[in-house]
Amino acid sequence: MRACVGLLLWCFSALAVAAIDPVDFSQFEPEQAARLQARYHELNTILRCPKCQNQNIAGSNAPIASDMRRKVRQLLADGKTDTDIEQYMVERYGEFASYRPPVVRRTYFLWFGPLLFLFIMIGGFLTMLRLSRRNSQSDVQSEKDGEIR
Amino acid sequence: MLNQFGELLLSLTGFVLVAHLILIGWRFLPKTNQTVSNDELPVLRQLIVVAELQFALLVASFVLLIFQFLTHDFSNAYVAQNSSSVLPWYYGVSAVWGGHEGSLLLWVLILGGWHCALVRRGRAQMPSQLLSLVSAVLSALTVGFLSFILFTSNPFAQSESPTPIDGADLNPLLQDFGLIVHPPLLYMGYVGLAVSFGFAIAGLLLGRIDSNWARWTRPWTLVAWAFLTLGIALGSWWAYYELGWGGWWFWDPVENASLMPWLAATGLVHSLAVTDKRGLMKAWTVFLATLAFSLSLLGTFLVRSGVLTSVHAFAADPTRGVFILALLGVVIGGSFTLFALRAHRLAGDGSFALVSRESALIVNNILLVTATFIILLGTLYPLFEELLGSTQSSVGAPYFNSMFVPLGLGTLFVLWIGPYLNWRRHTRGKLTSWLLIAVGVGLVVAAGFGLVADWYWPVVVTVLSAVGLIIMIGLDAKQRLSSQGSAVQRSTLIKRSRLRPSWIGMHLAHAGLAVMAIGIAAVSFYSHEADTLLTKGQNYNFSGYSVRLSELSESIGPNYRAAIATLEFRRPSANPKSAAEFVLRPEKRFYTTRTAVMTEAAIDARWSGDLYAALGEQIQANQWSVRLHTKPLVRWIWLGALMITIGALVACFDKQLRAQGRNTTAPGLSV
Amino acid sequence: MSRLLLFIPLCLFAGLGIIFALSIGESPQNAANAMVGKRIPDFTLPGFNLKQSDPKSQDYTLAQVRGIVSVGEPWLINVFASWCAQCYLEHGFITRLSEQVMVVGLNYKDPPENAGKFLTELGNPYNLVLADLPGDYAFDLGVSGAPETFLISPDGQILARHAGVIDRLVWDQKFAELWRQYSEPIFKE
Repeated sequence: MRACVGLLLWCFSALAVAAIDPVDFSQFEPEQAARLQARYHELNTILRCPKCQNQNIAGSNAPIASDMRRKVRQLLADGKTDTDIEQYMVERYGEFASYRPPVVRRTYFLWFGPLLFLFIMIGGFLTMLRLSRRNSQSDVQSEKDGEIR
Repeated sequence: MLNQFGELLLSLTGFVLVAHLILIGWRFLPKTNQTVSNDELPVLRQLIVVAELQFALLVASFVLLIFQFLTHDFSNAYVAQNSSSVLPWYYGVSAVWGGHEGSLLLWVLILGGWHCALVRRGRAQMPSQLLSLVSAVLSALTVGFLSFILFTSNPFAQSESPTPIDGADLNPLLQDFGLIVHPPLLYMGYVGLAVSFGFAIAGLLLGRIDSNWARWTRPWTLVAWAFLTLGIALGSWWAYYELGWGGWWFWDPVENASLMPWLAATGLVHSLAVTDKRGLMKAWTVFLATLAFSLSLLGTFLVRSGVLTSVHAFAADPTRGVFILALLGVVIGGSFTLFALRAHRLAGDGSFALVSRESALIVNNILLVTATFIILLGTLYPLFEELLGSTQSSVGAPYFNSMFVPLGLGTLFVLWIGPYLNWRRHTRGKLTSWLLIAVGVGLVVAAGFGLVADWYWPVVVTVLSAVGLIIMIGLDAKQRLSSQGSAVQRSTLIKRSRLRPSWIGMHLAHAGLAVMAIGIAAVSFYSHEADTLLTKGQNYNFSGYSVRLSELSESIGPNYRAAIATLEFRRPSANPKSAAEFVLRPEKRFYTTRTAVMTEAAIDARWSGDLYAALGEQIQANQWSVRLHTKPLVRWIWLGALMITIGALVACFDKQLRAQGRNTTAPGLSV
Repeated sequence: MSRLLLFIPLCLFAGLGIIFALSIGESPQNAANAMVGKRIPDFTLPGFNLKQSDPKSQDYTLAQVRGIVSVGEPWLINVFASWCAQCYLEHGFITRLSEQVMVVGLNYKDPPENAGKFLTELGNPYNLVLADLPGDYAFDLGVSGAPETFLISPDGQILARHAGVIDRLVWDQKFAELWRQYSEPIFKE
């Protein structure tokens, strides 16, 4: 993380410098070029800059981010899929380099925890409803309390 | 000398509040289980004197700091670090809260302000016991933060001698209108939740909560929530035009830290409705109030302790982290302990059916709390992994979006039904036929939409849910307006009808959510981007426009040098309405004091969408790399947030939300 | 039973509090050492063997480099550049290291003249200097800046990596044990 003071300064000062390298897939037909452009920009938001304080490579002007974008462009032109490209970066820079955590044992709770949580909450609600119906006074008048709006 | 005076003011405030706390504690705490007799005048006098005094002292210290910034008093270390002699005066004022120490002072100032406002408004109506307890909570919080400020984050700390000749200037990113409005409004929201928190603690201490409690808490919560909504929306808008890559939400830990209290507060606003109307869910409401403010404090911790990596974070300092954590431990730990020990006394009486308004509101709460959980989990997961020694993941947009899209869409669909269910038990009414109409119209619009634009199923579902939501609102309005009979005049119709402020506010906010959803869907799926080289004088085609870099110029600002590109956009069209012609001037600024480089994007903003241009690098004398975006309907995102804010504020005006006087309780809704 | 449920928030918060307390002061780790444990990727890079009497630039492959520096011993790759301020700081330690360990310098995104000047001024501690001007090979190593140092085993496995200045403390903590382990003779007689 503390590889180079110069690099860090660059990074910090580059916070609001949009990372703009001209990229065109002009060797392809316009329709395919447009699709590749879209994928390029999408991937740039998913890949993380290894040297920055939480930025994707789209928003960072650090040299390594620039290198990564160039690589993404090259791999896209070579016909690699999005998964391939993410995998390529992760191989070299670790899980850190992708904002999409993999679904492995270590991240099961991350991906499935929310669903579990939701079920627990719903279960709790239904249980509470049943319990309170058993305990409370019965509602003989089912008139419109809906007047209170 | 001014520095010492500032410290003195803060210390004085602390002493006043501590004395206040002692007096209240001595008077009220032993008697929390009984209703105290109406010997209220001296207590009220004490309350108002203390509230106004502490606020006056805090205002004085804040004004003092502003003065130091405006007069470039670099003997103050904080001033020296965050301003310079060439900083324009309007940024000089906002620089007061541009760094850690000053932003904390703003926090405490706003807390003092809410405290003062509460006492002034509440003393006419609220029982002095309740008011005193809430005031005590707020006082304790203020004392806690003042200690934090005075011991670890003093904005009046002396610069190391020799006094610097000039300051380090404010971070260029912060030299912007956004800094002037975003933090104050955001803090109004964060800190305003302390009032709800105070009510919750008071309720737990007293061991009882009645419908009046809910009616006093509701307006304060609504206003705080409105500010928080607006503050977060402003932050998003600011990041969008400032950071140069066109994103409006990054799921950065600091952003998440603001969204969590917002979600909890939204749940609170809805849960309070049940507690108010039916006297149910008291413990849950108290819990949510505690949770919302706790998340607010947690946000403060995350942002300043260096525990999480973020572009927004203030400079990390472990000592501060420890202090805040201790503060958190006392406040959150203390309040959750109190909750665990006392909440069982807050039982309600009554029940409701599975299909009822109460159920719908509980479903709302479940969705919101789940959303809060998701953000907490995702934000803290790398921390867990690090402590367990395993590989660290980066949890960002892909994760959060995949969770929030279904959750958000689910919420929109729930809103089709929830507000139209009866309390206690829903009786068959027109709801089913309304739903059919909503589905019908929604599907037609969504299908039609799919014919005109590219088909993405999230967009289709969003359009369906949003349109259906609006239809339901319209049908409800129609029913209410027409139920008066046609003989009555229009103006009295509105006055006497059921379109009360609370109705308008609620539906405005819900509609705002639908508008936001449409904006998000449009921007996410229909944006175009191009990073390209532009040579002066040449044309370039982008998304139906013809773009020409016609001029490259330079300008000098107060503390920067700028390179400006003039971009001419033309979209010829046979139809004069869709023809467009405009000029954008994105800049690249070089700030001299901090040797930082900044991109100032140029935006052509319309309700139908933005065109966004940002400069990259100068490749040759006449050639620059440029980024161009189209951002369809992006303004709808912030429009929706604004609608939510206004809806909340409008709802406050409803008399039904106001509590009864001090000695009465609403019939039929007693403890 | 329901009263016990009321303690859940407190317990969860206590857990969180402990996690936070443990995390304060630990600087969040950035890019993980993804390449550690993997085989060092192949390369063909221009290089100088300045310890030769007549150093000429020629292309070196991984196999050739291993032939020169790694005869049954682990060796180091040190990523450096003349534009990197901290590389000046660690140069002294690298020189000391090079007395015991074979060190290959990987010149990262640096025009050769600048690298040459750097080495002439400070002295050349490297057995071999490889030039990676575009930074492509360094990318394959997972390098994101300079200085970085890799420890490679005799059979070509990346044993350890350090991003940042390497000094006595870092060496002892991250590299020393592994170096000793892999340079021990196979037969203990």
